[in-house]
Amino acid sequence: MMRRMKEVVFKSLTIGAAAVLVLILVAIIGEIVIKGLRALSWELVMQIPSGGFYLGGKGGIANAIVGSLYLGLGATLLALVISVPTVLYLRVFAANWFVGLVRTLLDILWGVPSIVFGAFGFTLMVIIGLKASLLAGIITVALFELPIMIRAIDEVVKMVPRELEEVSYGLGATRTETAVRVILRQALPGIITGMLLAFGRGIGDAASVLFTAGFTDYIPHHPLDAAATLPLSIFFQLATPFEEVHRRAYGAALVLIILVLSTSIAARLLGARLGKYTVK
Amino acid sequence: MSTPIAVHNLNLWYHAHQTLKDINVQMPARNVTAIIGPSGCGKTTLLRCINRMIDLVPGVRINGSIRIGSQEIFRPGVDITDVRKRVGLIMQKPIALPMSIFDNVAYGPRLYGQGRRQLPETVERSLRTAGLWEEVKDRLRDPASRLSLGQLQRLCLARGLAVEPEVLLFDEPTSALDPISTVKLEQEIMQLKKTYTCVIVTHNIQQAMRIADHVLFVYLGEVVEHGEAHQVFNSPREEATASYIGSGI
Repeated sequence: MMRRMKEVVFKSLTIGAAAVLVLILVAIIGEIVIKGLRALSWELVMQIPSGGFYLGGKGGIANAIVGSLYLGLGATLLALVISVPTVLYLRVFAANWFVGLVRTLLDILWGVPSIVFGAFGFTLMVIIGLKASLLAGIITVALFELPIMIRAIDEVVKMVPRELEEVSYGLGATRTETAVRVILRQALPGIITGMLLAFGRGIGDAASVLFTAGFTDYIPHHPLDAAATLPLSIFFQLATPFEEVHRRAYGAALVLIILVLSTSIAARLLGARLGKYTVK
Repeated sequence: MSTPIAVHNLNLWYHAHQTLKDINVQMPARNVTAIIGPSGCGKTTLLRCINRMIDLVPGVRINGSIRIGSQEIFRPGVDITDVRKRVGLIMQKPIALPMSIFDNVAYGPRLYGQGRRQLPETVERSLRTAGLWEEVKDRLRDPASRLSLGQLQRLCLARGLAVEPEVLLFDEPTSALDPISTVKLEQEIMQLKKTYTCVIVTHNIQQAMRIADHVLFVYLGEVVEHGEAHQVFNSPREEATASYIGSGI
């Protein structure tokens, strides 16, 4: 009887916890979708802010949409270029003690708040003489994405069976050939997922771009132009006392969610295609 | 090609534990040499010395020599990838590389720079030799992981053959296979020994009786008995060999 009770209680607790999570998610997304849809219009998505936009004037958030896309894609690509070799190095070349050290450091970096990355990026800019710009933002967000991406890819690459490596070595492949032709291929779907995770975190982060990317009402045309981003655009709009501007902030939030969601779906489809040859 | 293997005074330590003791054997060319013995006696370790896959195991120390043809493979400066190209290994568990059937077989030749034009021919020849061509010729672009275990083991064989080795090592190649696939693979080995020096580690004494020309009985890291198959099986010189063979039947 007691054991049955335990089963029932434990089961209810797990269901309860899962339900709370789903409720919170639905509430957040629901609020943004409902409020955002009311503000969403062609004007909001296609136009840059005109005079008095933050006071309830005309215009849209095209500057922030384009800025965020440039920034998110740029930072994610930059982070990827550093992450993949790092992970492969950890898997095929590095000594065990060093792998442990690097993983610990990355876990610490993962926990560092993005505002600290923002401050670090700002210091870096001062040192190399870069002003607030798209490029500076990309570098800072890439730094912020790195631990997330490396650890995510590392977890997948760790799962690649040792036997696969042995097959490759057995045919006379070098470590480099094995890493690039076998391990990378097997881990490809996971790499896509890791990239996507980092992209989502990067494009949605406000603090790391606060001092580094600048903010402008215009669409950036050059890496050294200042760039607006959706998170900061949302922040500035919500910081005003005007109802109309608040509504548009929800519109911007909806655009941000749609961007992240559609990249996520695209990446998953791509991952499934690329995973065709993966050995189970 | 005629490439015998000569193992001379081979000792191997795994950390402080000596796993192979004073191994001295010849494995003749164009023959099947079976290495038999109880689990954990060092059969696989010995096999993995022959293509230096043992180098991948940390904490291993080796002295002694193995000559493959005229090449001393433990001499400093020897290119390990070259040794592994000459000595193919077919493992216990057949494993597909994460790519198509074609690309699995072409993996080795591509490493050695074989051109795009020659590849289809190499792949077809290797698959034919491994007895798999007829079953896969219409789906070379399919993921290799979709093959059955028996087919996969023959794919592993084809993949090994594609780099044109001189020696083929089989590490319990049929232990994961069903009886029909086992018979097929044994038939392939009987064909292959006409060209290659074959060495097979097996737990299955009947299998050794069916296909081996030479037999090596290893026990606790030592070669207890070594000779022609019919001699070892019919009139073993050592007590231990007799009781091991007896227990297996």
